[in-house]
Amino acid sequence: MTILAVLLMATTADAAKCVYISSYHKGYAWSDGVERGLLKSLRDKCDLTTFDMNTKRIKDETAIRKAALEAKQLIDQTQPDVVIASDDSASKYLIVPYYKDAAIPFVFCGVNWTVEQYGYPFSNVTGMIEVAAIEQMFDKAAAITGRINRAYYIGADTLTEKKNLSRFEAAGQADRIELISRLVSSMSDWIEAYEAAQQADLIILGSHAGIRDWDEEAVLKAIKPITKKLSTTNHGWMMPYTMFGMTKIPEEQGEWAGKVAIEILNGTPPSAIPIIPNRHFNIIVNYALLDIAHIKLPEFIKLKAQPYY
Amino acid sequence: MNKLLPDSERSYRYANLLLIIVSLIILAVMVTLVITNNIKTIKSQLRDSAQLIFQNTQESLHAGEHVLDAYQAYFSTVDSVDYRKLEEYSRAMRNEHPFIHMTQYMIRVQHSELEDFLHERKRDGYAGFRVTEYDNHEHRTLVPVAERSIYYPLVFMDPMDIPSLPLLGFDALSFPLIRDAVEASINTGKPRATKPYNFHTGGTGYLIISPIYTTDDLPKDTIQRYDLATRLVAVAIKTENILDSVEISENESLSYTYFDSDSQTYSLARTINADVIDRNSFFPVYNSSHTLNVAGQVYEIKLMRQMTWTDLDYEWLAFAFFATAAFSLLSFNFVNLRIQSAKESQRAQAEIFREREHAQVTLHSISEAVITTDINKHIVYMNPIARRITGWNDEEAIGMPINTVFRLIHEDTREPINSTVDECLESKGTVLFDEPALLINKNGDEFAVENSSSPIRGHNGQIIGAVLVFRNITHIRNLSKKMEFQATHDSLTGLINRHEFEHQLKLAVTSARDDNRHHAICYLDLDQFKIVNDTCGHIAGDQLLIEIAALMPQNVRASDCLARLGGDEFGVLMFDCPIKQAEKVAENLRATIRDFTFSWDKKTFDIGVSIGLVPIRKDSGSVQDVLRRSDSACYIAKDLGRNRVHLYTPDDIEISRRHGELQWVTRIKNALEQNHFQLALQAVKPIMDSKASTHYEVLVRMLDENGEIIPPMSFIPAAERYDMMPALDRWVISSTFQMISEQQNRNRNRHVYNINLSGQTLCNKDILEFIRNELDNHAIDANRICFEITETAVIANLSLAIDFISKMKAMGCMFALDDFGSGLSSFAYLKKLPVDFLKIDGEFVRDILDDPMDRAIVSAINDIGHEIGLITVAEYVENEDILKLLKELGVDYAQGYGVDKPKLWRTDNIVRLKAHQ
Repeated sequence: MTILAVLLMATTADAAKCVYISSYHKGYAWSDGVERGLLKSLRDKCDLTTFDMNTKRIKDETAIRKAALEAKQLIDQTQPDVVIASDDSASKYLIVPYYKDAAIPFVFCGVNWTVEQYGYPFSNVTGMIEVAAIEQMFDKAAAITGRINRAYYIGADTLTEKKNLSRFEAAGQADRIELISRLVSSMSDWIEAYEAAQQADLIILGSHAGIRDWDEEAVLKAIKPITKKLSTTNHGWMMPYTMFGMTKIPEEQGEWAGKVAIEILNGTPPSAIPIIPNRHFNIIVNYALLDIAHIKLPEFIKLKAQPYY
Repeated sequence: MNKLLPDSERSYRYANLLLIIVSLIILAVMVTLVITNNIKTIKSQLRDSAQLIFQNTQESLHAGEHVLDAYQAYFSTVDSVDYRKLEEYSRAMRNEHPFIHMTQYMIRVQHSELEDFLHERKRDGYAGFRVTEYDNHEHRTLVPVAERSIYYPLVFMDPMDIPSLPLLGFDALSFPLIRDAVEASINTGKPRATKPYNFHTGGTGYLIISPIYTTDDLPKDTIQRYDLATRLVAVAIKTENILDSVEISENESLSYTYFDSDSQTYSLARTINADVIDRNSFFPVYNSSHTLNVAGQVYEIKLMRQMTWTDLDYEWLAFAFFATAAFSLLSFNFVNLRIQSAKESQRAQAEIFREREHAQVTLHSISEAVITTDINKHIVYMNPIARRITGWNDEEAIGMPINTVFRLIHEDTREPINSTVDECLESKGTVLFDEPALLINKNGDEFAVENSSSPIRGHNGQIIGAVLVFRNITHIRNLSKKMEFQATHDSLTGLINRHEFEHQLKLAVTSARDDNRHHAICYLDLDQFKIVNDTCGHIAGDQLLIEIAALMPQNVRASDCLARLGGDEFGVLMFDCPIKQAEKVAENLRATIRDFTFSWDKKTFDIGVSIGLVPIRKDSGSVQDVLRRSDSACYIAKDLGRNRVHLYTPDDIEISRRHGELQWVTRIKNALEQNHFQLALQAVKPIMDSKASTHYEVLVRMLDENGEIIPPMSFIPAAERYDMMPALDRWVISSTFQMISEQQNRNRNRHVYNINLSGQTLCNKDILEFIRNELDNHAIDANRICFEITETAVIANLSLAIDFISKMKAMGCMFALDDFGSGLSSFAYLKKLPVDFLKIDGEFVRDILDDPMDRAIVSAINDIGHEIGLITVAEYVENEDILKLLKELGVDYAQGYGVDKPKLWRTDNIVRLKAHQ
């Protein structure tokens, strides 16, 4: 675990103090995006101290709790005016156990789909929930391939992926789409599941985060020969293996969290700020894979899509 | 005239006042026209601007309705709402129409569906989502909605800014203002606006709400519309944003007013540039308003503009001012020219009046008499002096011929003469009558007058009359006569003096030579005079002379000339008298005097006279020749035993030369050589200015062989007669300079020494050089020397005298004109002579206390002398009373026994030096 204290701006004796607790680590694409958005909003508004819990890399529950304690120590030492906590681990291991209805306000972001498991809203907690554009994804897929009757979901065997999968299942059920799913723990299982998924109308790729032996090149090498059906994802980091993505935007999460933090610094209690979901997505197209599968995109999607390189 | 002037001035002032009022009225009218036109322009511009604003606003607001139509179209075409897409639409709409504050989307929820709805919202990420309403409409606190059958909670809004977030879930039906619009829109199927209200996040505005039915077509009836209106879409309009895009000028104000149909009142919704309207200003406020219907609500847009200084059309105002100013200027100029002209006229009249008064006062005041006549020589005006002299008053004289009133006769011929007016009008120039004339006035009195006439000219130069100026010179003429008399007569005896006698003799000599006329001259010398003088004194001697003089006229013709020639010498000049007749006259004279016995102080003296008789004929020579002969003849008469008449014979000259001329020449030469001359000084003291220098007149005395002093009157005439004066004058000059030089070495007095110069010396061409050398030799400051020259000497050699005086003055010497009044006493000569001092003849001063005429003469000479810049000196000042009177008259210097008696100036060494030379 790494404690990074970054002084973002010249401090003054009475400058507001903020602490940013990231559930993951520097270099993790999602976390980096969240932090970019956060810095964009908070620039010049407070002294920001960051702490990475690194929970993508450490799976040990004890170590995670220890990281949460270190974060707590940092918060207690700093006595910040507001704490921004991104992604589920920070809420689960830090906010819920130590700061429920505490004096220090918290703004969370990147919490997947729902906060019911954390008991939010607390009086001192608000934030933005991370939701996937499942319905829109089904609509777009239908627009590309025609009616989707069967979809195949592949993801890591993780808590997040389970929550993600349940959302797809609900949406599929609403749209009368048969959803087959496989949550795996190894790359080979993932490739095997991917090959099996070629029988469905649509392949939905969840996050590989949690698959310890994931090898991008090996995966790519394995999937290219067998790819025939349209694949989609809502994770940007899955785009090397996916033809069409409606990815959540980490910057939106961080930017919103920053705005709310400023509002709190300005005196608005967290309880007066409703918890909302994210509203923006990126449409990303991997033309290389599409070409392999000989799939053509309709023009209206091309006009708004970003190519994946 | 005095009364007329103020009235005229007042009338002009009224004219100016009227002109000012007219100018102000014109200015006011023009300014009013300009301002009225400005107002008209302002109203027109305001109306056009308001119309434009109204059109733009109307389009904008209707655009809001069109936006809702677009939303309706969108919602009617999709099964499920893509919030991301809806957000994109909303942003696009807001960008296009900035007055759209927010897009809202509401879903109808039946109470029975509420729980599922909330669960679904939470599932979609809206943790804590709830359907809310205000606890009361004042405080706007959001609380869970009260149970009702239908809700329209807000499920989407854009922009989703943090302050607005609490509104998510707000039930549109819970807020009456919104509910009314919702119901109205559902009922009509058209967008409907709420009344303006304060937004939850601040600001004022309204919502335009449009229902979205589940069917594409508008449901037929109200029930169906309520059943099928499952969603609502709304745009929030902030009233302040409505007018933000409106461009108005900086001096305009725009208000946006909502008309409340319930209260029938307008409520101010928005005003921009409100501060440009100053209700306290005197400038009026103009407005133009329009009402418009926005989704069923009535608004009024009012554009206001207050007139300001900048609205004024200064070009036209300037034109108005300049035009008025030009009119005023021209009018003022015209009126003021009139006024100026009138004033000038009045001033000219006043000036004429003043000049006339001044002239009249002057004419009344001056000592000259003035009479003016018209062109016909009839009297027009007489001043008081003229009236007094002529004896005519105005009533009698005005209109009378000038020669009737101003009657003149010639003083000598007593022939009537005309006034100078006649000649003046004929010659058209000034005429001065310089002959002696007498004016016989109305009473028959006679006045000696001088008169002159000048023409009077009119404006065009033509002669319209004449002015006669005359003055009574009787007094002056009498003075002149006396001066003339005294100049020609001996003051003691009343006989003519030597000077006049010589003048008459000159006439006789001339007539004898030129006209071959025969005249005769007697030279008389009293035989006993010295005895009387020595025994009884000078006064007795004078009395003797007076009585002898009184005896003589009875023996001569009136036309003969009887004179006292000096001391006890008399002369008789008989014109056109044969020598035989002359011998009789001479004998009669001798006998008369022989028979006369002079008594004085109980003493009696028998007086005899020796008479030399000389015929004056063509070949008699000069005056001096004749005098010398008569002198010689008289000497012979004395020499023959006194008391006899001796007719001159040619041998007499030789005799006289032997006994007379040679005697004097020898005596004078001897005196010069043998120390028989002495210098004496008599002070000439300043009496008016004590700081002025004291002068000392250098007098010469001669001692006879016995050491007796020979009076100047004895040897000076002889010295003159025998041309001894230049030698004597040179001796005096050298001796004086020697004395001054010695005194300079002893003390520092700065006295001025007056040295007498004879006429003979003046004519000496070497005298100038002599004096210059003497000054140099003795190192004498020339300005300590004042030469005295007699009037007669100067007049006889005028040009030489002037030249000599000028050159000597250039060296620094001063000059005094001696014995003024005893000669011709011509003031005209005075002006020509560059002298410094004027010495008044002592004959006038001696009796000044008793003789008013003498006093007048002294006063006149003193005044005239001062007038021409001379310093005056009175001689013969013999006592303090005379001195006092002279001070009163202003005479500058005094000389005489009353001031200082002559004192000998020792000259021993001088004589010795001369002896060596």
